Amino acid sequence: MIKEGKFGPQEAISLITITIVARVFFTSPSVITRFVGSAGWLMTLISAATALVIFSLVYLLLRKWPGKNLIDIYELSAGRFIGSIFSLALFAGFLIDGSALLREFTEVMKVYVLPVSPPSYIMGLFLIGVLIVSIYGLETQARLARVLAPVLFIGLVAVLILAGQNYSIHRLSPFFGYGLDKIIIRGIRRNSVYGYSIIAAIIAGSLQGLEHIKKVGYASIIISAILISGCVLCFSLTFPYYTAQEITSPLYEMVSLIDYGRFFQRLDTIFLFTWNIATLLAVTVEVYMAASIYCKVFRIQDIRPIIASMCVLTFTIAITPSDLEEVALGYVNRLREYLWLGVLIPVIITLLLSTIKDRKKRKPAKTKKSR
Amino acid sequence: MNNVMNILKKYLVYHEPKRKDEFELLETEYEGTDRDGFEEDLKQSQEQNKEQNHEQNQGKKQGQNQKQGGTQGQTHQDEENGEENGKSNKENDKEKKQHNENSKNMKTKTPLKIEEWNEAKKEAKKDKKEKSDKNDESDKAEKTDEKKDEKNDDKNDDKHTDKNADKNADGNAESGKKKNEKNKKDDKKDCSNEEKGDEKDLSSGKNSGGKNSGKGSSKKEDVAKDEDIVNIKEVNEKLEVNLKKIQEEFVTHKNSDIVIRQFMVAKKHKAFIVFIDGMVDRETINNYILRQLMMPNLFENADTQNDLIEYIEENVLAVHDTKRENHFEMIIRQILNGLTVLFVDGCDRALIFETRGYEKRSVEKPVTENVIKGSQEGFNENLRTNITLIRRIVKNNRLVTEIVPVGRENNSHCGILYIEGLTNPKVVNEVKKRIASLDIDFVSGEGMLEQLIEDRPFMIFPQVLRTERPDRAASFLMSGKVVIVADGTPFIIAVPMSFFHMIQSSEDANMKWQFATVLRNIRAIGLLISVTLPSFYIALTLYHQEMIPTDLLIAIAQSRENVPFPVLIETVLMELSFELIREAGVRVPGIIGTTLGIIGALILGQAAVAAGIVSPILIIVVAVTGLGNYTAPDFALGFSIRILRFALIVLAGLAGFYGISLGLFLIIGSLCNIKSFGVPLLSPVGPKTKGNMGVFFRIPYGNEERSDYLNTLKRNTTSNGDPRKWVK
Repeated sequence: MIKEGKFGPQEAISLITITIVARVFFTSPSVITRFVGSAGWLMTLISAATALVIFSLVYLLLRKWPGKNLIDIYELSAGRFIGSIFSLALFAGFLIDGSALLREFTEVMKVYVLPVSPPSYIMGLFLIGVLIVSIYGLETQARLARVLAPVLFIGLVAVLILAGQNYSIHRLSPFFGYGLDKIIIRGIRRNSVYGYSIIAAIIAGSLQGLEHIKKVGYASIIISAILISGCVLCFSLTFPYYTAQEITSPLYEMVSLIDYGRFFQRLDTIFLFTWNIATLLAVTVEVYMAASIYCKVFRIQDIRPIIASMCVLTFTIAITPSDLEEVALGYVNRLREYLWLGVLIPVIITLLLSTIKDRKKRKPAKTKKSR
Repeated sequence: MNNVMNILKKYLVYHEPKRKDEFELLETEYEGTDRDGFEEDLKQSQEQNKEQNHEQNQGKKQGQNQKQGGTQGQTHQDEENGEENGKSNKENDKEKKQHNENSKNMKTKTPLKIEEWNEAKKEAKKDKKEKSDKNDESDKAEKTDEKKDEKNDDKNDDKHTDKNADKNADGNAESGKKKNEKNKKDDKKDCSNEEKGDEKDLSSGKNSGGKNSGKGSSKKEDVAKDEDIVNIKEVNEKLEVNLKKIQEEFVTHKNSDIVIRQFMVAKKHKAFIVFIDGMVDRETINNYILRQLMMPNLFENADTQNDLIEYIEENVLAVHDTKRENHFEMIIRQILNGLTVLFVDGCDRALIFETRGYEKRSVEKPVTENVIKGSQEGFNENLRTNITLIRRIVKNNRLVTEIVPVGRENNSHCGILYIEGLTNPKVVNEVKKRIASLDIDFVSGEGMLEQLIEDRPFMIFPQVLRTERPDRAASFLMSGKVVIVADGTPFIIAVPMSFFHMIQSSEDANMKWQFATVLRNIRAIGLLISVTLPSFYIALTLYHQEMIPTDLLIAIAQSRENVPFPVLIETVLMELSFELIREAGVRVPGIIGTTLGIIGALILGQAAVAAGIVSPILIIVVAVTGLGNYTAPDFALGFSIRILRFALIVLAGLAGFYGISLGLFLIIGSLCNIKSFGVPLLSPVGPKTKGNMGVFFRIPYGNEERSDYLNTLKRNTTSNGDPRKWVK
């Protein structure tokens, strides 16, 4: 077994929250606007609620197997083969999502910051950082998240407040966007963004007990929902929904509009750091999770060479899409809409199998007692 | 399984020293010897040693054999043989003269001059050649006639006494008489030994002569005896054996600062004391040791010889700290520390007594940690003084000082200080384990020790706290840290540490909390500026011009108009120039250094701008960066920042703000990965722990708790919450 260290709930919450919220910096808010109009902030709350329900199922499963992580539980309840398939589904999810996030980041960087640099150059530099911090291990990543969380939070909130000069409440109308039904359906379908709370179940061994896992899972979903919803709300307040659909990185655009006199304007700098560091951490966590699941499934003791391989894989997958549109509407959109099924289905199957096993165990005991 | 467990125990479990009392007296360090650099190749000296010892032993044995032959009553007289033996006796005399000269040199406290040294070397070589030639001849002579031995024996004895008499006449007026007496006694002893030998030989019959007649076998025996002496580990009852052991260990025939003073205790018992010249207090030795030991009236009540050492310790010596010891390893270590050791004939223990008295620097102002408010004392190079400075502040009976040896060859020491009942015992054991497991010849001071015991040597950041202020060291102790005082440097180290300690100064505690908080934050900002400002400048001018306000952008563009270099090269050049000025300023002696630094920077900057090589804005950037670097109270952190700054400059040149973000991500990630003696370096922020909230804020004195990450045995710093009980 690979050693992943121990850390507290604060570190874990920071880690998962940053991983989830990092998506808001890229194309997702404009894609949401495309589906639900000006009610994106409401839709994401419904997604969060759905994610809470799914996490509750995961928590039920963890309660049946105290002291075990999700990968172990898959194998113990569904058998080595099927369990491995469930775990590899998670592995693929993390790997592809990490790659998509990396490509999104690269494209947005090319559009706004480094227009002349080739994508492979941006990705190469990025993956060097990812590789080093992944090799440092999960404990280091958790501590890093805890250290960076206040800085990122202050940076994000400051930007949202400073952008207040451009907010107009009328831009929120129509309040329910393209309709309540669409908000609910899309909300439920696009809950994958909060699905990273499942990280709490995968790193269960590093957290101290079920109570901590529960706390981490729920808290990270709720905090992320507040932050994402807040960002989407501010974005909707700044841009009319018909314009917002066209913007590659709505938050970046929003920040560049800040203007408090001749000197205090264009606070892209602050935002750039927030955005870069949060994305670096999110991709690092995803790459590490993919490597960790892979090592657990195939009983590999040393994670470091696997991390290097995962970085190469991530680069390969990230470089495959031809352009930003393919990434945003293809990869990212599909992942957001269907990735949660890769979590929910195995969890439900495993939960059922565990319940059946439990009953089988109880029956002989009862029969013995009755005799 | 048992083997595995043993190996694990060996490497993972801290082993207490077998003899706990062995560190009792090792409380101060010694300073350098005054050998004036007269060092020869080690191998050559060892060979010479062996040869000399071998020859001496051979000579002695020959003499003994001759005497033994004489007592057996074989009286063959031959004039020719007598002449040859006369020659060999002369050689013996020469050897003895040489030996006596060596012993004189041994006692002379001033080292030899270079000319003398060279002459001595030449003579030694000549002698060696002659000896080797003559030894061959004498070997031949031995083989041809055993009877010559008888005559040699008689003549040898005569010459031996004559020579002693001559030597006494030529020698020092003071020591002449004593030596004469001593020689006589030696002769007596030789005689008694001869008698004993005769008895043995009588019992063994014919073989006595035959055994020693073979040159090869006698040489082997001599070498074996030398090896035996080298291998002796405990003090022998025979004084000669102890003397020889000390001479062997300290290479006394070359070593001019080892003093072996031979004398008679109460005019009855042969004895000698050993010490290193320059490391002892002469007054103590002359007035309270030698004088006392030579007064017979003080020994009137001494019963037996066995208790002599004990009697001397309890009744004779007027020295405050003494210890009986029978292990040569410890004795040698103590001599090296500046203590004096007494050996008495017939006693199987030596007496070590405190006589240290060497030059040391006085307590002065700290050089790197100056403060306006607070103590103005700094550590010096003396281990004992440094521990005393700490003890003077922490007057706590539970403050424990453990002195442990470090460095196999330089036999240095370091003190491990902690407060029993407060400091986490696991940390103390970890510190002891790491220091005890060091396997290195030379540890020069705290800087080297730090690198040997830190968790991650490849990380650029300091992993232990370093201070040259006793008050800061005391505060570390009281907060539950372990303090390590190394020998020979005016700095101490404290573990485990938090990164945030490096932006805190000892002055903070003496200031009102509001001022201290502001200062702490200014230091943090200074550090941040120092790391990132040049890279920000590069990123803005190279990649993100749109982010610069228009007015500022115009100013920058105008200032860079005539500069021929790209901004990256320009910045690297200026940073390098600044580093050069700084480094030169440190190396240039005295006040000129500071002046050179300021004038150099001014003139160089002015000239560079006038020549159009650099822009004035860059001069400002570099100057502010340099100032920011000096706000770090921790000197080692300043070094880390200087290197990281260059890394960020390169990253900014490669990818602008994106590169800087990547660099910062890696820097903070690396910081999160480091542990200082098991404690994460970024505690109490990452991981978040309770207690000691004052990372960037020095909270007012009140219900303070010791940091949770230190796991101290006592948490609260006050008994009942508020220290200001007078308010109630």
